[in-house]
Amino acid sequence: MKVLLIDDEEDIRKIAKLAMEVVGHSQVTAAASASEGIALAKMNSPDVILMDMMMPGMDGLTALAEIQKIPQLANIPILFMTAKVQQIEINNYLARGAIGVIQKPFDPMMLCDQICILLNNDPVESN
Amino acid sequence: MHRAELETYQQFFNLTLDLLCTANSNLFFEQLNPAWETVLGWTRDELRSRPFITFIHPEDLEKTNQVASQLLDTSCKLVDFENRYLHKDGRWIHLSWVATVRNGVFFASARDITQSVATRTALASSAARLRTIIETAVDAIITFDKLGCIESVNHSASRIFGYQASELIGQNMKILMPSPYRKKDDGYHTKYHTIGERRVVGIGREVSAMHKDGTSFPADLSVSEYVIDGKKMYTGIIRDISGRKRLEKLKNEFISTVSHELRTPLTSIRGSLGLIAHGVTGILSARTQEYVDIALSNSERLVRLINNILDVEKMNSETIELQVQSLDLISVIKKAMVVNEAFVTAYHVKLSLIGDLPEKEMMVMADEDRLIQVLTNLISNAAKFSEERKLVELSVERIGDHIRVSVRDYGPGIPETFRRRIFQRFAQEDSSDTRKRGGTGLGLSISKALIEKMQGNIGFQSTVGSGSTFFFDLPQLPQSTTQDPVRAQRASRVLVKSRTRGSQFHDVIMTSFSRRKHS
Repeated sequence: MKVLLIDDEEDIRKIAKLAMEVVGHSQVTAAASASEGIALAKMNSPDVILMDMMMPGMDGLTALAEIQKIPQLANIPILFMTAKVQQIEINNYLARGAIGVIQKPFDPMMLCDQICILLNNDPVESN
Repeated sequence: MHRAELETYQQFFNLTLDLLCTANSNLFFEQLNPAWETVLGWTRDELRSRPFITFIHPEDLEKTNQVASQLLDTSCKLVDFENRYLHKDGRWIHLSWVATVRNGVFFASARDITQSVATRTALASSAARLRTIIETAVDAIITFDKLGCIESVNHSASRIFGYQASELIGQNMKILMPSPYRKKDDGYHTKYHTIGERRVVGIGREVSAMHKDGTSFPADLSVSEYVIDGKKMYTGIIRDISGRKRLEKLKNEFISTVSHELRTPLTSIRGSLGLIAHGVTGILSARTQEYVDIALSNSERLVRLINNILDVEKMNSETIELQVQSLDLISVIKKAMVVNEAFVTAYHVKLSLIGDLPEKEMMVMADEDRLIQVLTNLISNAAKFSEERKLVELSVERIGDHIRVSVRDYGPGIPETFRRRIFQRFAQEDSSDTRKRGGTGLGLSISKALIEKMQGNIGFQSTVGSGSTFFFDLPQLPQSTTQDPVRAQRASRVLVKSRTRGSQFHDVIMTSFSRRKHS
């Protein structure tokens, strides 16, 4: 699975990348901002974009709308990985077209399984 | 005049209940009928013994003297007036007079109106009190007829809407509503008057109201109906809630920000510890593993505490939204058992569903995730307080039209002194419990609020030394009730079993939009 991770927090990028690569055996590209992420997505065509919500410059929802406008990227499923998970916020993400939400703090050992389930695939065996 | 006629007049004079009298120009009574003695308590001789003005209330003297002078100056004229006379027992008796003067002699009749004056005063005072209450009320109070025509407004109505009272009286209530709502209210009136459906009356609801300057603001409106002189009327009480709404918005933003700011560093801490503890970054010595596990479980505890505090805040502000749908309770219990298996095993306790399970489904209206949250709380409490190798037993039974789910442990039981506080926030049997058992003291309080929000009840039975049973009852739905597919799709969530000790429901909850992919 090719994952594009977009998060402005370097620590979180490092942890999530390690978790997905080593535990989830995925291929992960990481970007520190939404605009960098969109540029990387155009080059790499990821299977899924895992994106933070609160980011300086362009926030997650704006980035989602931008990605949906680009025909080449419009079909890539987008998951938000965020600490902003009040019910009203979650409803808003889903209404705008995100396919799921993973709550921060996340369990690094479960991250890939969660992504697979949200993508409606079977979890990857990762023991 | 014939003698018989005279006797009749005499009888009338003696028997009438009104006070009849004559008095001379020196202001002494001359003729007095017996009613004077009945009404004022004095004998007629006592009344005649001094000028009648000495029986009159000092405050009424001037007025009475004026009337007397007026009568003497313009004889023959009939005058009505009221004053107070002293009763022999010291009370003041209100008298209503009709008097005239002929040849320097006063002819007068008076009636005791003490009772009606008291009633009149009480009514006036009550009306004044009511007027004051209405005028000083913080909320706008507006009365209107069945067509919405405004009949009266209080001071706050003028203040809140920016109109003078005279600008509102006679206008339609629609003047106070922004345009999209005007039509709706017409609909209400039509509906209400044709089929009698009460959509507004008797129920407070949030509406949008409009100020004179055209700006709209949120308001709480409650309308009550009454009939006066055969005419149906309505009273609308309107409260401007813009301030409250602004505060709610600020509070929500604050909570959202605080929650985000706390969770972001925790994500790094918990994530790093998770990777280290599971050997992803290299093999650990047993001693390092032990301490990393401690750090990890405490970071997870901190996450739970933040989640619980947010839940409690939502319950307080009643902003918690439940995704209620018809559910088979047995399947929810089985899911909760799966979710909690790792946690219970870590305490060396076995989880078991006991008793005869019903052949048919047991349907309830509930929010599945929140029900699993409640079950998780009860199961984890039971596990924490159980001795090793003991059972935590779950059971389901019908009680009347409710279904009861029980979680039983064989722990130490709950001391009598703690039972009263057990559903209170941050309730722990003693302060060392928090450290020893790893709880937040909020679980039962949240569970109680959630179950009550799902129209159920929560309770417990406990015997010190033998264990405790916590249970909740939910109203059972008829078998034929099926799941609402639209609602289920809108809010389906996915649960993943936790692999780590201490990981709980909130850590492993994700939300998906019915697993929908972009098309």
